[in-house]
Amino acid sequence: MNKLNNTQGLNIPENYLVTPAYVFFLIHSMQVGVGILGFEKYLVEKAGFDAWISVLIAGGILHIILWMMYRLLQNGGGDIVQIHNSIFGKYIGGLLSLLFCAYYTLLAFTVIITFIEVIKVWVFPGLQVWVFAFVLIWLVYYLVSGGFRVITGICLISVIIGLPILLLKFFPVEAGHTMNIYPMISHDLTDILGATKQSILSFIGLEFLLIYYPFIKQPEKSKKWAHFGIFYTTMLYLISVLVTFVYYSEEQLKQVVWGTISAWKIVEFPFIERFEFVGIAMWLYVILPNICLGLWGATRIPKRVFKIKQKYVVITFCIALYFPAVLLDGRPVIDMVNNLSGQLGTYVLMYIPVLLVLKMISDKVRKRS
Amino acid sequence: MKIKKTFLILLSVLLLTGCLPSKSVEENAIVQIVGYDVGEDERIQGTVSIPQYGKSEDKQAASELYLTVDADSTKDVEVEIQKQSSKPISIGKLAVTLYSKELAETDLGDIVDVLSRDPRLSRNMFLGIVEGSSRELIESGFTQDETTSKHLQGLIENNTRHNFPSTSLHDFLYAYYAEGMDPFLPMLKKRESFVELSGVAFFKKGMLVAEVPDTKIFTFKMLKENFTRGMQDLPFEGGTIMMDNIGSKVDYNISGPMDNPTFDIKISLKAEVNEMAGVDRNASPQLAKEMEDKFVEYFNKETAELISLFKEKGIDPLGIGNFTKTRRKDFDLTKWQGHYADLEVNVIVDVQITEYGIFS
Amino acid sequence: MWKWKRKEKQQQPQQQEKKKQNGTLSEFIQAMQESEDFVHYNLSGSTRCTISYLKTMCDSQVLNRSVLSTLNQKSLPTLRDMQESIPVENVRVTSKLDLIEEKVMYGYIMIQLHEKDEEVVLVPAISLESRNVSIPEVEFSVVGPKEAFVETMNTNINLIRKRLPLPQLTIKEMNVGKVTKTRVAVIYIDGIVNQDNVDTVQQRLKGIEVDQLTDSSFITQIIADNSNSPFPQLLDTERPDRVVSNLVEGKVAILIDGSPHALTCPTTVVEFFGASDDYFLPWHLATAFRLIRLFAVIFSVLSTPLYVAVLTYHHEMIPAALMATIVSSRSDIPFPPILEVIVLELTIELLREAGARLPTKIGQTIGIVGGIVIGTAAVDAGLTSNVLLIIVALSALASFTTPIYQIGNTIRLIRFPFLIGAQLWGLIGVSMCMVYFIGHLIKLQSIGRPFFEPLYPLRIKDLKDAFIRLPFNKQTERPVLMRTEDPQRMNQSRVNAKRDIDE
Repeated sequence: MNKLNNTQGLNIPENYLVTPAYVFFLIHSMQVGVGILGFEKYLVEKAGFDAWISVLIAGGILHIILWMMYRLLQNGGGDIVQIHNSIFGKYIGGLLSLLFCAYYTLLAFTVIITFIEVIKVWVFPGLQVWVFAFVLIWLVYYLVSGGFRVITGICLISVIIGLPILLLKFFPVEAGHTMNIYPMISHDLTDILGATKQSILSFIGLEFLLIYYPFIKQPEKSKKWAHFGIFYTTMLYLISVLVTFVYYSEEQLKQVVWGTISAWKIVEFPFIERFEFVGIAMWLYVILPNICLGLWGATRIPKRVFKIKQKYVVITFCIALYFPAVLLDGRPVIDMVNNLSGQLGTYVLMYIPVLLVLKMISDKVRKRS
Repeated sequence: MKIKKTFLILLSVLLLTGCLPSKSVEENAIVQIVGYDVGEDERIQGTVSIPQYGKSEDKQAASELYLTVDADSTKDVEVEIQKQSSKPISIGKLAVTLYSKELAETDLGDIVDVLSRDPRLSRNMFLGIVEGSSRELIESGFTQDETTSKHLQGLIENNTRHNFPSTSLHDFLYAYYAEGMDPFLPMLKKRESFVELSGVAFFKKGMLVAEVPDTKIFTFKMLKENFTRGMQDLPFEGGTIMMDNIGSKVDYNISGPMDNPTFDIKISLKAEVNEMAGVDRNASPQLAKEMEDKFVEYFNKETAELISLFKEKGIDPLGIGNFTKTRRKDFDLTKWQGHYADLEVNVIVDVQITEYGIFS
Repeated sequence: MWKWKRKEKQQQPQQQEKKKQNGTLSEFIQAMQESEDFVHYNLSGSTRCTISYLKTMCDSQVLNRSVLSTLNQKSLPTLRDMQESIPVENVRVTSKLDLIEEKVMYGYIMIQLHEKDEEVVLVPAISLESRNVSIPEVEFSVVGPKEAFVETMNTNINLIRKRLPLPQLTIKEMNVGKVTKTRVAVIYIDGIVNQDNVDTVQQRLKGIEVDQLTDSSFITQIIADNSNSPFPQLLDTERPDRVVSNLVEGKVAILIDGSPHALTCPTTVVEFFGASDDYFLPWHLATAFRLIRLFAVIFSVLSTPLYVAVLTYHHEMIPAALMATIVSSRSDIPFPPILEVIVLELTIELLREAGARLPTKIGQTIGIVGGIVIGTAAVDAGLTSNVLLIIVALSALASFTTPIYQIGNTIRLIRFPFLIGAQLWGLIGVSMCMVYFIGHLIKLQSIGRPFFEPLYPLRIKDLKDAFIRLPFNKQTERPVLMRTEDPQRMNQSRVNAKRDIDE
């Protein structure tokens, strides 16, 4: 316990902590973002209609990584900055933590530009990005300035609002060709593993646990909720994949950039048609936790490393995010940024086992000496 | 405080400039139906109809404005029509798109590509092939209190609940892009004062290659999907009997090696017989049995004809290839297409007549 | 420069305060004699003394029957004798000037032996002029108790006490307001309430710096956790039964003398949508009505913004069957939807404002004139579409379904930001606005407790009486929100004891 008290910034007053059950919402809402709107296409390119197996495998891998993260955090007694400092020392550790900060920022940034792209393609081709991005980032700033509890609240709301969108999956199933999915594995293992890697890209987000872990009340109890969150995400992705496979033919899906949005088009109610507009508007709730938590995580690291006020870091980062969000444009660039953040995401996930091993070695060394 | 104030002022200025150029609904020319014909000099002739909604009281007035232009491509049609319209053209509510048979026989590939790309379009839109000129069909105005688009939309929708297999832009694109599957579309024909669904047009990729008349649609639908409605008549002992389908199920199965597979299509059909014009016998199990046999015989003949037509033209609207692909690991499209003409397709029809109507 | 000016302002009131303080009792009497209703004379009966009182504040019955008759019958040479023989309760002898001043101003009778004496006898003879307890008008209910608070605090406390005959019902009083010195009472049930809540409330009340306090809404605004929020963070009610049930749940109530409303806290946003009727009906009916009310609120806020968004940007969303209706109703209108909506919304606000300011009978006429005449005329003249007229009228109607008046105002006004959002970016603008408000609600606190409570933090136990109302036997625990010292409402096992057939 003494060790905890020594580290500045880790002693979080109790009224800023959240109960363990919220880890479910934090993990789940961070994993689901813009990716789910169009990830099916990339899976199908790799493994065809067998890609649903890849989703399950990816879910399994994430469970293992989550378990490792908990091991790491429970022994490390704090967040990623603390762990880095204890393994690599102040300077190298700080540098590595800053890399994490960059990665978190990139994630938030990716979500912002992809969402703007979706709006430009589907709703307003003539959107003045510089105004929209300004308001969006201001909104994010407003939420982030409320602190971690507010962000958790947004995660919760996002999951609740996301539920009715899930029910819309019923419409494509009704219109689809159910015989397309047949438990027949026609692709070899490398294809399926390729698709697994691809689906991990859209699954990233749980690594934020490394930074908000100290904010959880009785963190040991949150374990099951975290696993539950990943399980729920996996099921959600699995359902999405299956529905998309039922609705589109394999070659058709390769042409469709945003499968889920296209499928919303067929939703019709007596008072409303063309549900994709509502869907995209509601999607704001789903992506906001990504941006907010991303920005919060990214700005907390400088606070912990340099001991500066997070408030100013958030403002700086908001301004820093705004200009590239306005300037970057066009499908190829956005694809590139998405791929980059996905790649980095997989590296981060691969880094966690390495970190765990290093941590165990350093603990042992320290014990001896 | 000062920063906050300047920030607020800045924000409101931003918001003022942030307004998008917008037009309210009534200021748009909402195109609901568009037809394409072959124009002069290898150009496309496009015809649109724009409903003119009446003011306040007479809401349902069916007056329409028809505009026809010659253009180089379907996108160009939109541009050309814009030149003739007093209001901006909005194609978001497009409900029916028609192509003349002549045009469809050349190639619809490019047009289809546009349809699948444009985010404004609905995927529930109907496509149709017109025997003759689609312009004439659009401009003829069939009913007093409905627009042409609403009429045609209703016509196709109603038929898909009965004898015609389900069709929409999405279904067309599904089959168009799928391996081992070819699309089909309803054919429309203008009679003197009305329009009717006259048959099915079968495509090989984007090209119209075959068509069957409306009498065979029931058989085709039976092969294609499960359904619970639809009617089929049949000459029987000098008279005619009319069968009302109350539940038809179809099941595909493939067996044998990939180089020489056998394809089984099992259909089980439950039906009522409601009309026996010119048949001078009392209803009895015996009669039902005879009628069942007669129907089986009829369907066997019809399905065999259809399938041989498909084989001859090298098209696969039933999606047999697509089905095989999901069941067989070693599916190879080019090989499959090579074998397709020799594929053994067995259709087993089982008809069960359960009722004779309320009067026996 | 700004700071310097502000400092100067702060110094001025302190100086004034010093000047105001009187030196002696005679100076006070002299100052009071400026007013015509101050009576000051020497009594020359069996007892010789000087009597002073405010005749507009004193009960003349007490004065004549108890005080004057006693003083005239016996000879009472000392103040102590007077205190003992005057048959009025709580007569006291004092020489504290500030106490004397305060009491005289409230209507006490001051008796001195000689005019220059500093020591006096104070006889309480306050005349309480007050309205009778009447039917609640703002929170009317068809069934259930029909008493409402009035402007006198003693009557109000009486209304609460008679429903809660408990020694634990504690009432703490203080005076707030530099000039008005209004009595403010904090009421709670000791043993149920969480002491933290009481302390917070008392602390905030003591910290109030204000010159006048004429109504409970002053307190709501001043002690709110975020005074810039459009949402009221204390629930105000005129129903004693509602206050009592809140007290039993473990909340703290604040009563203000001169205001016919009580404030209860901590409160949550869903509580504003619960009416006391909900508890007088069977639980399924009550739940249905609550859900209808909730739907009405959502409809009221979102209907016109959605109209603007859909008609301006997303007309693909209108089904073909509705298209003809909407387009033909809009075809004559020269304005874009946003202008049309704002004009009509403002008209409705105008009607409401005019109706609220006028006497009831004329108010009704204005409502009819405005609603029917202006409405139909506007449609006929082609200024607004009749579809929109229906929507606006319905949403205005829906905004009045909230049982608490304060939140109704909020609901009517927060739709304007939504309208701006809708005009900017259609549905996306609307949902951005919604996110802002949800974020705001999550941030809000009521006396340090989360305002958005059963939703976030998500507390399943408190959801039993939020959007739905479960039967009483399912609500055996007090809400988690208050963190009460005694969470059990009743004995759960006895409530849910199962009986066999024919037992």
